[in-house]
Amino acid sequence: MALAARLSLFSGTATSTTRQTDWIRLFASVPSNLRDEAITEATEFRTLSLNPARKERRKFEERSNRTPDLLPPRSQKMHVDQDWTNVWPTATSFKPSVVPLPVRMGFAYKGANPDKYGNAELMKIPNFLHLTPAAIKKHCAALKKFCTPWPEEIADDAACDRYFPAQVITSTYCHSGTSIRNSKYRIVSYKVPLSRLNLDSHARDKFLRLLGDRYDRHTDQITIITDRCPTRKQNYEYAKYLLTALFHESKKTEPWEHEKAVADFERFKWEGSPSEAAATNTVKEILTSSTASNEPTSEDISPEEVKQFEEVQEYQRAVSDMLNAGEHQDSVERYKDAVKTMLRLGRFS
Amino acid sequence: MRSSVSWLRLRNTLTGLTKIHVSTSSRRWIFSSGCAYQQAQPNSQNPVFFDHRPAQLSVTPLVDTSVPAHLPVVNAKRTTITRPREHTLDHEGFYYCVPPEQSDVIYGMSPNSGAFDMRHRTLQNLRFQWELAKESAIMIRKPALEVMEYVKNTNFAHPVVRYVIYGREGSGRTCTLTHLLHFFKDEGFILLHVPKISIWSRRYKEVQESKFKPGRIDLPLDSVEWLQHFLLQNGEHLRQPNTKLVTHKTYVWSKREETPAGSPLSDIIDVGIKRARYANDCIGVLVEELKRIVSESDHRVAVVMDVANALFTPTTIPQVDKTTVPADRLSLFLHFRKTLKNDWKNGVVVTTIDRKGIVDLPLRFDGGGNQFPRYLLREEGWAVMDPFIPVLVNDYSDKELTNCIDYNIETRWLQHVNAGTQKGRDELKVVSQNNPETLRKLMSRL
Repeated sequence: MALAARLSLFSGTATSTTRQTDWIRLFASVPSNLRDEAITEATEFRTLSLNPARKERRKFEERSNRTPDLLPPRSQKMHVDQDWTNVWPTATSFKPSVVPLPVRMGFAYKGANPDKYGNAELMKIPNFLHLTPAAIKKHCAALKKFCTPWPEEIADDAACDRYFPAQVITSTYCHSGTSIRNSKYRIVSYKVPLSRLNLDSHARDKFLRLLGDRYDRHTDQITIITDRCPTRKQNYEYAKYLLTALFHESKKTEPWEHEKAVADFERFKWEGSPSEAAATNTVKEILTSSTASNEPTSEDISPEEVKQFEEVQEYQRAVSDMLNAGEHQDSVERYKDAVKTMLRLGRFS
Repeated sequence: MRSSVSWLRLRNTLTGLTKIHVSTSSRRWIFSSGCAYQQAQPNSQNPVFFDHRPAQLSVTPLVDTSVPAHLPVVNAKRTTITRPREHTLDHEGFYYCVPPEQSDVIYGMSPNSGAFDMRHRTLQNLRFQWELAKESAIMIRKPALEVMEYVKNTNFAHPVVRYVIYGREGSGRTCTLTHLLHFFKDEGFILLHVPKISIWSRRYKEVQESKFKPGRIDLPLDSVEWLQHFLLQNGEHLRQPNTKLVTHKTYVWSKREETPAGSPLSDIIDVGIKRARYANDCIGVLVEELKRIVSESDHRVAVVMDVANALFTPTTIPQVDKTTVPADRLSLFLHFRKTLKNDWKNGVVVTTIDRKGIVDLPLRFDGGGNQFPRYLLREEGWAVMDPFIPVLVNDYSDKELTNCIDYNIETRWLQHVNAGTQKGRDELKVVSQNNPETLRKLMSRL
């Protein structure tokens, strides 16, 4: 059944060929005014006009490329010594006829970038043509009568750091997009030297532990960067809060902090170390057993005095250096020299 | 990688090598070339070892007619000065021979001397070389000269000075100690010599609970061996009539055994040797008494201790609860730690530190590079030893290396055809990287 239906459909199509021929003729490359003639004079031989007559072509060309007679752009008449702030007094979008600069912007697949005329890209972006040095100078001159003189004490940067140790760094961005605002403007960096906080050794240690990697020991700067609040003001206040909280937290001594043992010390501490006791006892013993008359006897010498001897001091430096900076050939040799001097052994060459 | 390639090349160029078979079970040496230094046949009653006595001090090079003709005649640089006190930097790199009568007492290389097993286990490489060359030759090197210089300048009324000899593995720390042992013996010191501490933490013999202090662990057989060693080294001081080395109080060992006050220290040692159960306590008494006596008398004690950092690292002695005995519960370690403190006078303490044979977990994972004193002594050792004088033992200088190769050619231990040539020497230098131990291992196959 299906095959028979298909066959009938095929035969039906074949019967309508003559009508289709008429329909196709409508699309011949013949002007519309002539089309009726063409249909009627079906027997006449027609030419395909691929290359129209020169006269017709000229008529088409004259129609285009006609520019109206306009005044030349204002920028071409400007003097080089004119006052730009009068030309461009406030913030406004780019006008190609006013700006006497051959600026180009945008992208072209072939050829140079589009020039300033009719350039939408130049109009989209914010410009700072109203903030030229001359404009700022004028602005400052206008503001000057409201200013007080610069304090003489803050003559240089060092003095400035001394009187104003805290440093707040923010950045303002101009965003090239639908909104001029950039979310990075809210970020606040709060910097202050650690030495200006006047912490004792315990508080300093704790402060540094709480700070983590926010302390630069080369410049002695604490840097707190806050960006979690939506506005700059909130972030600035949050940074100040953090610094205050850290400061007071580090001044506290928790009960568990007394459990810190020698092994937990960050650096070797000479005071109270076994090395100190050993060196003091040894030197005192040497002085006691020394037979030389010019040496003071042990009764006269307290351990504190022993620690002030140059030999013991050098030994202290050598031990601290060796244990803090790690053992290497130089530090071990320095330790050896210090011990030899302390134990009064000769030099071996 | 580079050194292994060179080594292969060295092996492949072997021609005319005289093979030496060392039969370790019977300790009999057979030289296939026919030049035998050791001809006696062993038997179970009298095992054959080299006896120093017939050999006279060998200052002139050995010339053996049975040596193959291709071997060069080389004379190593030696000095006839046998008193270590007289060695100076001019003799650096030279060999000298310890006189046999002293060598036997100090190093006890003959099997008849006591504590042979301990000595054999601790000084076997040196012992092997000495037996082979028929002489106790020691190279004079800078670290030993340095310590001697310090000891000569020491005021013995001051607290004892501690020396820690450190250096790369195989650089000759123990050999420095052998030179110093001779020096101290020659100067009349009482030797408190512990050949190698680490054998007690790893290669102990018998373990028992201490009776003196419950919880402590004793090593009775090892202690007896050490007492024999001490007796052999210091017999002349201990066996003297009217000796000042006497006990100051009565020591009661058991209900029936006691050593009364005023008896010589050799009595204490005899108790320890005869009754192994008390040997550990005897060592404790000996150390205490020696420290007390020498601080007041004109005797001087030299504590010479190899691998002293083992005193502060755990042992491998198992306990019932499947843990191992820590260092502060082994009574031998506690006794010998007392000698390292500087609370006594008229003495000197010379120690070495080592990584090998140390049962310390961090040393397994640290990459193996750090040989420095503070690192190996750890917290405890540092607290006891500080302030000490670290003495570095470097690898051979070129002069020392040349003389060492010369010595081995001279004694016919190095028999390779290229041994005497500059090329062969250069190759040995590069492959061994001037390290004495590596050089010894290389030459033992050539």
